Amino acid sequence: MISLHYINSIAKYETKTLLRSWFFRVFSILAIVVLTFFNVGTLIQANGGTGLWQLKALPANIPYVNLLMLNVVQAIIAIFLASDFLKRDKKLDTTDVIYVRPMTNGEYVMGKTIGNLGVFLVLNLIILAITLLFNLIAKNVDVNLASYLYYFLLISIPTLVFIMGLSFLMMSLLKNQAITFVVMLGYVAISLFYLQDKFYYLFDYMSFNIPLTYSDFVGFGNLPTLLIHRGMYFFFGLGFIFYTVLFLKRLPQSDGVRYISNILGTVCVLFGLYLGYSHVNGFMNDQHLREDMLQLNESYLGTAAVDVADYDIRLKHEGNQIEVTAKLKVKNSQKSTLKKVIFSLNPGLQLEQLNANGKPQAFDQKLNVVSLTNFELSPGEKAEFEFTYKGHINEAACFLDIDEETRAEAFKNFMYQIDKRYAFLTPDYVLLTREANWYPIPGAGYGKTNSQWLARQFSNYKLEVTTTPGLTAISQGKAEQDGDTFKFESTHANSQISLVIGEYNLLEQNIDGLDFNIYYQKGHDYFTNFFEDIKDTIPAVVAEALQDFERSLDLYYPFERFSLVETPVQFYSYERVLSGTREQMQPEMVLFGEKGVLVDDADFEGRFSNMGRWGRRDRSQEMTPEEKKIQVLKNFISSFTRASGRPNFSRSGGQMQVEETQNTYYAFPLFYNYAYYISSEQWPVTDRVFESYKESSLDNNQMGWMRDIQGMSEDEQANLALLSNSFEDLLKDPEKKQIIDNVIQLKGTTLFSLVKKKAGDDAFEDFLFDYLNEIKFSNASIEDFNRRVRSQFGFDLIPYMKGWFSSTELPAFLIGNVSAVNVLDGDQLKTMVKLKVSNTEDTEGILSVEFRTGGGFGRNRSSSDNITKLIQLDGNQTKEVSFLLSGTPRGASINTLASKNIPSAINLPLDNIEEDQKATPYEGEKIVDTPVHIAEDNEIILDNEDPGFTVTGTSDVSLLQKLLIPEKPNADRYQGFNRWRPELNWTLTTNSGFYGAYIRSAYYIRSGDGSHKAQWNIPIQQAGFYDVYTYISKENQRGWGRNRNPGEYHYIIHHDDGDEKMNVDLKSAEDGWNHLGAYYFSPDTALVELTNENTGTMVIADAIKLIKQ
Amino acid sequence: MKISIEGLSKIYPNGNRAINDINLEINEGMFGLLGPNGAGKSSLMRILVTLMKPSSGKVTIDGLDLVKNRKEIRKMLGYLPQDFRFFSKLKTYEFLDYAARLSGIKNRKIRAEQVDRMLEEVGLFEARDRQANRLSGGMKRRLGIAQALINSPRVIIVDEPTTGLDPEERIRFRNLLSTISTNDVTIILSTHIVGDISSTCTSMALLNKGKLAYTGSPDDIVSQANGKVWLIKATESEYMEINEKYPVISTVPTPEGWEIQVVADQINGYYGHNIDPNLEHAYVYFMENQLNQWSAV
Repeated sequence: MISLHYINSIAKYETKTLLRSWFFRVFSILAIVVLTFFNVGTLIQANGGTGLWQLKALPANIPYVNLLMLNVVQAIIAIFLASDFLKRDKKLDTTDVIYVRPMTNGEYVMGKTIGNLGVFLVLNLIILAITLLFNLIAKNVDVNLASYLYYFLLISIPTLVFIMGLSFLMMSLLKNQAITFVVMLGYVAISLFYLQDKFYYLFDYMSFNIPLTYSDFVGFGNLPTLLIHRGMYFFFGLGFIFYTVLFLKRLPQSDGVRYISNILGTVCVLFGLYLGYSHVNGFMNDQHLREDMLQLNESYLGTAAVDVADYDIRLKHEGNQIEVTAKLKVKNSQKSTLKKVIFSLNPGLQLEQLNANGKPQAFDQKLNVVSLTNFELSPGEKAEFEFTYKGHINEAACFLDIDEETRAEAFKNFMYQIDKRYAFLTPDYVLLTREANWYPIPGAGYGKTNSQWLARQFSNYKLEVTTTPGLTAISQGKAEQDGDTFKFESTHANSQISLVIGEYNLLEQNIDGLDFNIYYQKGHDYFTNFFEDIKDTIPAVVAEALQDFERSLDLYYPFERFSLVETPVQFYSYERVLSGTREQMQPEMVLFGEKGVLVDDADFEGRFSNMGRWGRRDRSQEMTPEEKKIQVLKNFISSFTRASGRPNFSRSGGQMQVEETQNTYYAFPLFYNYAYYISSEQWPVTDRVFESYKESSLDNNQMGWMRDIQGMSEDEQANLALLSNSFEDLLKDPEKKQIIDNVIQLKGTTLFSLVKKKAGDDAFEDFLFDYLNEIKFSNASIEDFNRRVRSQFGFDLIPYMKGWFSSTELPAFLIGNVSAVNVLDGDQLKTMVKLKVSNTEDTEGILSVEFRTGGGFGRNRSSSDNITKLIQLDGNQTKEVSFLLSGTPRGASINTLASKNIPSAINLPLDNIEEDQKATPYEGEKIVDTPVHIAEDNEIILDNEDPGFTVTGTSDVSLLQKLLIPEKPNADRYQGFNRWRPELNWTLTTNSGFYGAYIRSAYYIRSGDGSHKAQWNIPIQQAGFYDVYTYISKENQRGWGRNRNPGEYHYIIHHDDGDEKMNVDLKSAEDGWNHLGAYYFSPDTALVELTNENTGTMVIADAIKLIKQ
Repeated sequence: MKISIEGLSKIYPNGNRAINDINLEINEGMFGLLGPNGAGKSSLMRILVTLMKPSSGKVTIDGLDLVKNRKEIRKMLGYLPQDFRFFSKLKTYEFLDYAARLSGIKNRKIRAEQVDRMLEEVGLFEARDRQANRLSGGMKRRLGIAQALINSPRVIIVDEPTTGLDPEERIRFRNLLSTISTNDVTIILSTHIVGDISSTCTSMALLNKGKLAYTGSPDDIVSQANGKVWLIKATESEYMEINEKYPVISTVPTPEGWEIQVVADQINGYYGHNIDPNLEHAYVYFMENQLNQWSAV
């Protein structure tokens, strides 16, 4: 019989001992102080006293983040203190007087466990109480009381039980605290820094990575998974504690207790293993399902799909299930008979009956594919199908095109992890998009070689939804409510529909004929009061923002209504290569994450408050509160018009990396993707190219600063990728996923620039505008578009597209000197810019020249002030081009688009333009025979790209560096230019400021002792005196911070009369060619060396020029 | 109360035979266990207090088997180990309270009374709120005996209790044990300090190299050394010879040379006479005798 008296006594004195331990006291005080500061900072002081949005928007995050921070540290402290008790007793020889007492080993270990655990749990409760206190006193922050309990149970208890059990057991087995501590800390470090979320969070015992964000809509993202995961650690911990009883170095008092401990330990560990297996198995099953689906879909490759003209869907929502009857009017638009008619449907939905033309039809449902076994459709034949099915949604079947690695990537906001959910079907909440495949879609889904899976079809949808009283159903089209039944019908076809059911409130307003709806969860109205003062102004602000966006895109908002629908924070979607759409964007609807917690600009109070605080430095100081609120609203609206989201920062190969991310709520798809679709069987990327082209007109969020961080923009990376890969290859290459948008945009711009060059800029834009209006909400193809282009402009796009898509050939441009003069054109002073361009490759190419004419710099500069001109060159053709500009250009940027020129954008300053009264104003181009010469006859230029250029010396890398800074995985020839932390060895990089015929590149290296050298071995044909020049790009030499002095370069010129050392002071050096002196060289090879000795940050080796005197 | 030890042996995993076939009967009162370092005293103590399992043999305490009835035996035990310190974080009375709790005294009031009574008895009441690890050496020993006595045990085992104590504390401690031994309690006092046994124990055992060398009363062992203890008056030149020949108990320099106490059957060729033996003499005689016998074997 277990004696509670003994357990209680041991626990009491263990607690007392721990509470009097300075180690624990210091930790506890530090934890309380740090978390108090954290709460003051985040809840009381952040954003001018309004609190940190990421925490306060979803109040459950407040205890979550607090316990998460505490948990990481306490997991380590608990190891020390838990392993300490055996050591402490042993060291003081106190064990003997305790061990001779008549308690069982079980009672002893239980008492110790409860004593240790109790102290930590009380600390957790104190921290939670402090957190709750701040939660209560913080302004405008809700309190989710239940979440305090949830996180205590899910984070603190399993972690502590596990880590203590493991520490006890290790200490009992190893019998040495130092070894136990090292082993346990090693385990913590591995799980925290390496294992992290690997193996489906299996090793995340402290729940640092497993998503635990709690939604007001649906609670935890995946409660069964969480319970299994946390339960696994809880039972492992219990098992280890029972095993500690078994392994305790004290003669057992009772064989019964020993026996029971053994059994309980084994049962708990086995149960923990079972839970671990279930946890992994759940994920593995999902993965296997996807693999099976992929295989199945692949087997239907080439099976044509029917066109669906009409959908009539009746859906009944009951608990965790839906019962659906879907009537589809279909047509075989193929030229041949469809021997097999297939549809895809979520594998969680069981098809009960399928009627074809009113008669029951035999069917086969396998995973996601429903096939009619004995049904054929002749070309042009129509049929009516009626599907009756019910069941749940299997989310594992969503996003089949997304690889497992990407799926496993964390969905993180601030310090917390969010579960990824792709659909919801609960008694109180439903969210179904096309990705959930909740209604039959013709054809099979994604297959690895099926490039047509994302092709959109426009169909007429009618939807009738019956749900639980009190819930509101939301979908596309005009809604009518009759009791618990909602009917939706659109006046036009749609490419897809979605369904949301929940406890929603609705705010609606008609602005300029457009119905704006905001559906928000009851209790989530944090905006009405804030905007009360400006509610009359809101329609005008919204209308203006909409018009601005429409104007920029040259597209009208195509729908009759716009609904902003709040959804659980866990709702997630992935970026795709062949479509810019995200599931958050639905026709006429934005599925907006809970309270906008993922959007900084949704923090209205915070933004308003910050405007006041920053007012001293900003003109907002002079703004009235109403004006500020209008600005806050505009900022919020702009979060739908920005293409890029928060960038992802990471480290790779010891260097900072930054990745552009797509703004999930970027509204562009509503303007383009859900209204237009230009299909192409041959080039499935076609629609994406159109989309990319329309999107590029927005010219927003070009992350130029990325270059300063990682040394190379994604556009440059795209250009480099195209040097050796065709467009087609890159689309298939998962390694290039990050830059594929840039590749598409580059290729798209090249394609459309070519058409524009033939058609004329404005004429093409007008044509495209009209064409898109014609095909709105209907199915169109590239062949159709080509016919229209041909008939309008006499230009056939298709032949060009073949090479454009599959060829690796690219044009290569040599750009001659650019000259600019002011001339009188009539009575108007204009600027005439002339330049000569050669295309030295066989394939034709196009480049654009953009003149910056607008005033202002940096943020204030408007791209609409720029003038863009296009130059088209056939293979091996040279043109002299002259532009006549009304405004005075401040500079020009030549974009060589998809070409061999790296980087593709070259900036040319156009300073001090003088008037030339003799010049004749002229705009036009002429083909000339003489190509651009980059070197005169008496010049010899040896660039770093030429044979004869070498670099010497490699820096030793220490073992520690090798371990800590892994080698860069990519083997790209060109690396980023890192001006903050130059490489230790000569590294090839590109930059528009460098010298180069096609590739403007140079080698750069961190300054050193002169042991590393760059060598130019320049062939000399004729003996004589030569002027030696070196090319220096001063722009890239600018130092940063304190180290602003670029220093001086040390050259050694080996000539016939010996060696000459020449130093070039970079402060006084010219931007471009710099004279190193005149030397005599015999016919052979002249050697010029540059060492890495420099007082500045780096040394750059680019080109050497010799001019014979 | 009777402790019966039959054929008890303890062999450590490294092969070291710490106790070798010991047979012993211990009755109520003070029982002394004497032996040099490494004789097996501590191993025997640890077996008796259920901290260690014997390799073979049987021990019964009041008829209860030591291995089979650990719980009952632990309830009647009080143990003071040789090198004993305290949890640094507990106060004197807290430590006693902890010991009382673990001894099974559930009632808070009784426990408090018992703790106070013990503190009074060992003279630590004034120091009840002091940190236990900050007490003086003697006070720590007293606290040690207090924790051993807190549950009024019927068997008290104390291992080298007077080591490191000053003479005053040592006498006080011996007296304390003597007082307790009058209450139908068996006290086993393990020591290598002969004086502790001679002044307190009514019976004793002598252990050497894991074997029982002697069991009986201290007076008996002393009487067996009658006529074997010599006081030799030796010159400077004899001094080294005697030292090599006989076990020397003491050497005192005199103006004529040395007065040397030795144990031996005869002292042929030296000038000396028999003196009355004490327990120390008997102990040395016995140990020497035992060694010679075992060497012969």
